[in-house]
Amino acid sequence: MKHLTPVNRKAARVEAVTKDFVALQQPPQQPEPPHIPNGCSLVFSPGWEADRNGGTAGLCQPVERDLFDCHMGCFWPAQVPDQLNHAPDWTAKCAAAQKDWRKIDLIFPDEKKK
Amino acid sequence: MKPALFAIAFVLSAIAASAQQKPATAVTPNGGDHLMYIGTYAGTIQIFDETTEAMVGDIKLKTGIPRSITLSQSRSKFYVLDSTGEKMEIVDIPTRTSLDSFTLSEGNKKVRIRGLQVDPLERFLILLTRSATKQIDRWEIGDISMQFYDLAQKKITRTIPWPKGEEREFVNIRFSPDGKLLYFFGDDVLILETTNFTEVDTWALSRPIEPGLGRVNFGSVDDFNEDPGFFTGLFTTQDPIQNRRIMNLGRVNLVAKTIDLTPLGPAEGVGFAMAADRKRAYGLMQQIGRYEFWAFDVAQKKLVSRTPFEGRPRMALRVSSNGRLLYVYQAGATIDVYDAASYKKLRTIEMNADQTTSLYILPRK
Repeated sequence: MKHLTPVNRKAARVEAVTKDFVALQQPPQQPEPPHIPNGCSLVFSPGWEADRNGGTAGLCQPVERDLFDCHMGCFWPAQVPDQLNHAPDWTAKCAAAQKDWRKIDLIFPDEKKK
Repeated sequence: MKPALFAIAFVLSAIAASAQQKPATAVTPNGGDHLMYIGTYAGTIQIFDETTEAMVGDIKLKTGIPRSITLSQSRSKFYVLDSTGEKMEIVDIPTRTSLDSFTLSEGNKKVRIRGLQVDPLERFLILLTRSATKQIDRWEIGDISMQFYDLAQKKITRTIPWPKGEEREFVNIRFSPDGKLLYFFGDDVLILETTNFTEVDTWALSRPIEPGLGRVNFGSVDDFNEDPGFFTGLFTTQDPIQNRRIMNLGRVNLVAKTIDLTPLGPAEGVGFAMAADRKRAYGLMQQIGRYEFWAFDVAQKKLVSRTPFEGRPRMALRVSSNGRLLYVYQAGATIDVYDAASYKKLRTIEMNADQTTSLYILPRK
C-alpha cells in the first residue's frame, strides 16, 4: 500500500514484483462447492432438496415457507407440481402454503396426454 | 335458538362486525408513515401501511404471479416480470393500476426475460432474453441477447451487440442519472452511450485502486436510498500476496467513476440495507444456525456492532422509512419486525399470501 515503505530487501523485492498488479488480479478464489444439484431434486426417488452446502440444514423451515418456490423457481421436476409446464394454477386456491395447505390442489398425471 | 342465546349471538356478531370495520390503529414503535409494497403468489402486489402494519390495498396483476419488481427512477411505476419470465407489466403506483403489459413470445417461440433495466427517463427497457422455439421433435434454444424495448413504440426495435462480443448469461447494467450512459459491469466497467450503444469510455475496475489492495468485487449493494448514479454497499477485495479476502464499505459514484472504499475486516457473506438518512446501514449475516444483524456507521465508515439473533433460513432485510425498525422478510407469508436499536423482535406482520419479490417502501402519494 502507499503508506508502507519497504525497509528491507525482501520487502523491496515484493514491491518490485507486485508492480504489475493487473496481471495478478483475479476474482477472489472460492473453495470448490460440493457437486450436488442445488435446489429441487432432479430425481423423484427418494428426491432431495439441498442447500448450497450440500446439506439440508440451510433449507427453509418449515418446508411450507418455501414450497411454492419449488413449484415456481425450479424449472425441473421436483416433488411438487411444476408451474412452467404442468400446473400453472397450482397456487390459485392457496397463496399462503403455511397457512392454507389444506387448500393446495392435488395434481394427478393428465390421462389425456398419455 | 332460545331468545337469550340469540341475543348473545347477535351481540357477539355485532362486536365482530365493528372490529372488522374499525380502522387499524398505529403500532408502537412504528416504522414511519410510508407504504410497503411486495409481490405475492396471489398474483398481486400487496400494500401495507407502515404506521399500522395492516394491509391497506393491493394491485391485481394481469400477468399473474410476479417474479420480480423493478422500480422506475421516478418512483412512480413498477416494471413487473411475471413468474414465467415471459410477460412484463407496467404498474402505476399512485393510482394502483396496471398501465400496460406485453410479451415477446409468439406462436411456438417462447422468449423469456432473464433480466431488465429501466431507462431513467423511461424511454426504453434493456431486456436480457433467451428464446426457446418448439420444433416438431425438439426445442431450439436461441442465443442470449440484449434487446432494446421502445416503450413508446411498444416493441423491440433493436438488438444491442454484446460489448467486446462477449455473451453473458447474467449482466449487471446501470444507467447514468440522465440516461445518456450505460454502465456494463464485467471485468472492467464498459461505458456505452445509449443512442447507438457504442463504447465511449472504460472504467478499469480490474485495476486496484491502491497498490496491494486487489481488484474490487461487488457484494451486496443498496441504491434505494441513494442519489441516482450512486450506490453504497459491501465490496470484497483480495490481496494478491496473501489472498486475504477483505470486506470493504464503499460508495460508488458512477458518473465520476470513483469508489470510496474503507476496509472493515475479513470478508463474509452479509446482506446490506441502508437507512434513508444514509448515516446508518445494516447487514444480515446468514449461516446455518447462525444469524447476525450487523450495524454500520456509514458516515464514519465503521462496523459498529454484530448482534446474534434467532433467525431462519432465507431472509432479506429492509430498513423502515424512519430508520427505527428492521423488516426481515422473504419466503413465506410473514414480515418479522425488529427494533433497529436493540435488535429485539417486536412482532410479525402476517400476510395472506407468500412473497415472491423484494419489498419496497415508498412515500404515500
